[in-house]
Amino acid sequence: MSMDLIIKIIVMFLGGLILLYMAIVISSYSSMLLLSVRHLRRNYKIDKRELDETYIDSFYSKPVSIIIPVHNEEAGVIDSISSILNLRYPQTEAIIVNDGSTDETEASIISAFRMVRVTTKAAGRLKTKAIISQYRSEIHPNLWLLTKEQGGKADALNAGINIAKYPYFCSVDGDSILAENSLLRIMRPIMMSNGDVIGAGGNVRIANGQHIEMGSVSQEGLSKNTLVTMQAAEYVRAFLMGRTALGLFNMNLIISGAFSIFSKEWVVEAGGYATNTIGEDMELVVRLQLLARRKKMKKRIAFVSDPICWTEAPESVGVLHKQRRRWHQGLIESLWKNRKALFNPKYGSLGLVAFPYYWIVECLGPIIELAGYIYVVILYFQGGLYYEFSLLLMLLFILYGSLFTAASVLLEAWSMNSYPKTKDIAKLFFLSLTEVFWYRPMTLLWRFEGLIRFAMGKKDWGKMKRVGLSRKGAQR
Amino acid sequence: MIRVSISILAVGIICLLFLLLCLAIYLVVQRQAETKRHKAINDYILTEEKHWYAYLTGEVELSKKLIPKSAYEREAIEEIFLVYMKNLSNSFIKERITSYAGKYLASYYKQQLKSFRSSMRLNALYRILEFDLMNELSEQLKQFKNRRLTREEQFQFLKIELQITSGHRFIENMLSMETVFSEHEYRQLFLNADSDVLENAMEQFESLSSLCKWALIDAMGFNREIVVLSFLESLLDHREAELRIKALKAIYRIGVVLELERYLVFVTSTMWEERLMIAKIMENVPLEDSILHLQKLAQDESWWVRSQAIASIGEQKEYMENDNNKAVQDSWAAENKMGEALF
Repeated sequence: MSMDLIIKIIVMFLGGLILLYMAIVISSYSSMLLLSVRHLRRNYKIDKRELDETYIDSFYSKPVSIIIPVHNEEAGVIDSISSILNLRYPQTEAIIVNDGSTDETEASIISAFRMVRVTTKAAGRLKTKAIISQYRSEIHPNLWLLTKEQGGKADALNAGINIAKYPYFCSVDGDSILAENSLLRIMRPIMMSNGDVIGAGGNVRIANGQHIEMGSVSQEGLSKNTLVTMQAAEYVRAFLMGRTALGLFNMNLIISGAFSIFSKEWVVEAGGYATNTIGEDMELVVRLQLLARRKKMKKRIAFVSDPICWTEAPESVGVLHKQRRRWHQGLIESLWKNRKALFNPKYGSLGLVAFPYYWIVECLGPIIELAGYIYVVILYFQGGLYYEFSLLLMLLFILYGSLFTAASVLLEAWSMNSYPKTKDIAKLFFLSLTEVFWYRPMTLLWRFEGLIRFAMGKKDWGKMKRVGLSRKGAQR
Repeated sequence: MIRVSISILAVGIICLLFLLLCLAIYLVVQRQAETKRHKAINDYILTEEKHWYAYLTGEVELSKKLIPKSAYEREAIEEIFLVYMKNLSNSFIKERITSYAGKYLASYYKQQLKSFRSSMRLNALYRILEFDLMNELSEQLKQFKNRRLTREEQFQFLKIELQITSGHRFIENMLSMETVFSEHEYRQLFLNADSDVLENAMEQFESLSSLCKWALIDAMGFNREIVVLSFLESLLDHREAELRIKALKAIYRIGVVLELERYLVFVTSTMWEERLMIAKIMENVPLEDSILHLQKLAQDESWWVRSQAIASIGEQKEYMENDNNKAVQDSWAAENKMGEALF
């Protein structure tokens, strides 16, 4: 067999593999897009204020403990807490868990909300690092501050769960701002489900570039930073296309840790958040889903597109790199930890559809896509037959990489309307078309790096520099 | 290698570009239309809210200027009416709104009830209920019922039926529906139901689903009507524990205890939730009659029962000092098992 023939066979095989992968991904994304379009279009014009007014009465709702883990968040923590206190919801308590901050986080909270020290409650059912002190606000009696030894976000959440007194808890990141009706709307599937929904995730939007004062978004708009705007488009695709569609079939393995709500009893039974993993939010969701399947109970994790949580996105390539690497590493850790569910009929659609999707498309995707990019370039310069094939693949990459994101902007217009200005929506749309040429290859490399780090057993997080989301800190 | 002609690829690229162009145009046009619509509505509200105030409070009669001439004006008028309906209880204003809506908005809602989009139909149902247009649109509502409706529409329709049908028919209609609503939805219905509906619900209690039963009992407790007390007391012997606990909770909310002996069996119940509820109920009983039972409950194995009994007695501090260690040890186990019944 000549060398040329061997090369040809290898090239054909790789080409076929990439083509097969693209076919799987494009058909998955197309299905998700169609499902999301149908779902969001159906609810497009419904007057959602009617439902808010119903559930605002405490008789119709369930009380919620809101847990906010913070670590060195002095820049934005006051705004985050203010947004929690501004929430329209009949009965809540807010528990700030200061996870060993070394900056002025604790002092600023104590000062801003007139916190006084109280007797520390005894240890709860979840093991955590030591609690140092507990405070209660004199002006907001349902606002608590727990200071503890640093143990990570998962450990902080577990500490919050231990002192939470209500049957549901909402986890909110320390740098996030919740829209006024967020809690009402995220609780709705739980209230309507007679306890079948044991967790729900809300929609996360990029706050950079918004005008935020005293914990409220006063003027919505896009950041001038191209990297942030690209992330905004990406978030729209991930949440409105991906999670909406997967949520319809209870196949979500991820709901955002920035804004999610869970049944306390189920989380405690599942063992709380895992402290030895990077993606603790995803890992918990996977464990809850599997626990419900094992108990043969029809429990669901819902995704709700209405309620919005504004969060700070990385503004520099360096920080974004660390974030995406960590997210991908967390994803693989979680999937690997629960790998017994893969193709396991005992777990129903979760094992037979959701897990394979996450493994093939989300987890191993970076390897195949990166190989695809390199392949296309090499083929292009080979010329002849390969030239046409490389163009075909390029077309598919554009379709996969950009068109779906652009179409997701349409979903945004039909659902949350977070970007009311025409120029913002146009900017979002046209920037999303460029995704395949710069943003996607970049994030693919970082995700690939995350995969390598997982294989090498590395565990460190990387730090994200916070600028805070208030008028002082926001950058347009 | 796959043979793909350049022309096919070119066609593919052109199709994609065309699709993207259509999408871009749609987004821009849609956003501009939305912006224009919001501006028109806000401008109308700003300029006309004083005139609406004058009309609705009876200072002036209806002028032609207040009759809607466009979709924007109609939406703006709805916004104004919704604010008044939700924030005021003045019957004169509500009648004016209903009368106006019946003349100038009902025809629009009639059309919307026939819409193929469920969101438009649902919004129409919201407005019909809010503006009390059930009589004006009774024929349309009868026809509407025979359509294939979404779950949300069915529920909203039930809320409308609650206002216009007799108690017996309403319960019959509800029982005949295939859709099972959540306990919260049933609670909404019963909380807004009149005594006729509630009486019929009590008569047909055993035919109701569990969720419906729980919701009915919760609503009775919330309403605090003494007339239902005997019915609730009859549930104290029910075989279902959840019903007994809910009945006790409702009785506690009503706040009246006629015969204490009826409840004493729960002091020694095997379920801590029932013992907790009886400890709460004894808050409404004179201390000389309840003290012995409360003292017994203050020694209960459950921290929740003990603390409630102590609270009911009102000597919390002395008992808590003696009881602190045991309370701390088992407080977390009890608290987390407290369960939905108590919320």
